Amino acid sequence: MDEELPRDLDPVLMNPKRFLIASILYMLGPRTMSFLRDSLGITWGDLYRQLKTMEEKGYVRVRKVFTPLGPRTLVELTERGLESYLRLVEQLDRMLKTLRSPPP
Amino acid sequence: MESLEGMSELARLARKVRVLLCNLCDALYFFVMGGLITGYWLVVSALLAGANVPRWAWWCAAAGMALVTAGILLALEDVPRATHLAVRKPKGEGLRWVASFLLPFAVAYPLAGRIPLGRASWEILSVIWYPALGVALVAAHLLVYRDYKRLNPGLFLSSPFLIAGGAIVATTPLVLALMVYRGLESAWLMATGTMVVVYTLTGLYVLKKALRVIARG
Repeated sequence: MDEELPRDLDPVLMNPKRFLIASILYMLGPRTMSFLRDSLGITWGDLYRQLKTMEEKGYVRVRKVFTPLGPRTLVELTERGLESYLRLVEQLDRMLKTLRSPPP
Repeated sequence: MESLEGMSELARLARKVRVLLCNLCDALYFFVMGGLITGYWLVVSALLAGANVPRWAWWCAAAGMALVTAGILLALEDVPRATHLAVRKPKGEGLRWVASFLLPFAVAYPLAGRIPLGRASWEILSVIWYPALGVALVAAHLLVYRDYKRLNPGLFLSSPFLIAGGAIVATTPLVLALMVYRGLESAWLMATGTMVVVYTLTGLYVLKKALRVIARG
């Protein structure tokens, strides 16, 4: 799939799992890691890997919080992550419009 | 192309849910605030009702109310807010909120004693919060909410602070007239009642706007 896509599409978010994580955080705001794992149906190891990649790029922030139910690890989309996600969605929409329009 | 369509479709759905949640949070906030403020003042009135209250009782009441205030503030922390979502925030947002709600009261209270309404200043203090609240809500719209709307286009569907603030400012003459002609209790009850009605109607309006996002399909 990657070979068919223009290079300026965000390679970090073009990964389906990372795109899903970004979509969930965009839609619902900060979520716990266990929420993300259950929503995506992936293993802890896989989730850590995806989040690490996103964190290194500055797209998400992972922090410990203390709740009445005990400590939780919260993941949130950063300003940079939000901008990148919105830019990618806009690019995808534009690309799909071009692909759907009949050739001249 | 199918996977791109899937991603685009998911993003479209995510945006809809986000707009819905954001506006539901706004509506909820007005319902909660209206209820809590009214409850607070009713409890204050209940504690201080009756004549010949000894001085120590006033102190106990004040301490109790400080605890209730702290409890309300803690409870508000748990109310889901639109700003808890990943949204673009205006610079100095916290300061702007504080300024919006602090300045109108800081100006209104010292001025209360100078208003020529034929009432003692402490009497006017018990209703002056009403116009001050109206101005504070309008200020919150101008200083904070308007920028939220500008920075996050299409996310905030209405202007609840402007609506509620405008309605409170518009009904202020009624409250002041009641204070002059019918007495303090009447004016205070009218201010509290009108505030609850305004907050509830504003919440309902925002809720209606939010639900339209889903109705649009």
